[in-house]
Amino acid sequence: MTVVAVVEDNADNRLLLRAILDGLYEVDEYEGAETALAAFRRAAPAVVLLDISLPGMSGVELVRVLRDDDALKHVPVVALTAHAMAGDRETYLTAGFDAYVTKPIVDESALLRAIDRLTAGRRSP
Amino acid sequence: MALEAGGAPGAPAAGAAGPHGAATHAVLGAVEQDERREALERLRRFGGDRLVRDMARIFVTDMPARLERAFVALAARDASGAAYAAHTMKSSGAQFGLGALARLCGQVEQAARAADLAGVATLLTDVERELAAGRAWLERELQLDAGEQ
Repeated sequence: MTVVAVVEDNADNRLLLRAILDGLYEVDEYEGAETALAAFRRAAPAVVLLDISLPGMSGVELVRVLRDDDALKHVPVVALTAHAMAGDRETYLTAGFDAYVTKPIVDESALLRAIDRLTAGRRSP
Repeated sequence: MALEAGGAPGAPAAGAAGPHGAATHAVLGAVEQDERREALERLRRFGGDRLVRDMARIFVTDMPARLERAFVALAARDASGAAYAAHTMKSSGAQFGLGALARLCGQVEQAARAADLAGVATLLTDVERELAAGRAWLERELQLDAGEQ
């Protein structure tokens, strides 16, 4: 099954994302960027849903590390953010994200479409 | 290629003063009631009653701790710590349609990032009030009892 990594420090948001992805993808959850990065270096996920605001290493810092890593730079990363001001889109794309999803999540179909496009539709049957 | 997925639009702050006084307050209260109901319906669509109750349990137990972390950060004059705590509360409040709480937490976050600790202090007392109201609503709405929290 296609692996989606969720890097999100809020337990309730992790629950929500798992519920949305349940049965469609295998979900690996991480509370922080450092533990996620260590895991990705052992086995890269198909796509990462990455909270921007994390304790310690931020989401932006993590995506920059991924883009500098030859083994991980190909992994698509979706920013999860409560920031949705004008110019944020360009900020996240410039930082290395492939897409972003604003929180609170109100439309799961848009999130799933984003994951489908970034993983070339590699859902479980 | 950049893809965007929608988030919830903002709504006027509940309890805001206006030229129509109590009538405005009642209308804004009704707006937030709708937001809360829609939020619960949305969460049920995502993961059924189980998801709603599991998220609500986390909310009623974690949020006071996050608020406490904000106060501790404030006392230590740790603006970034206060901003982070407020950010986490904003996210969770918004997911349950608690618009007033989410907006106040956003204001705390902004004040903290501007190093306006006096502003943070004032706003956190408002956050405390809205959080108490939000928790009480969730507990009533979902009939959470002490054994479940």
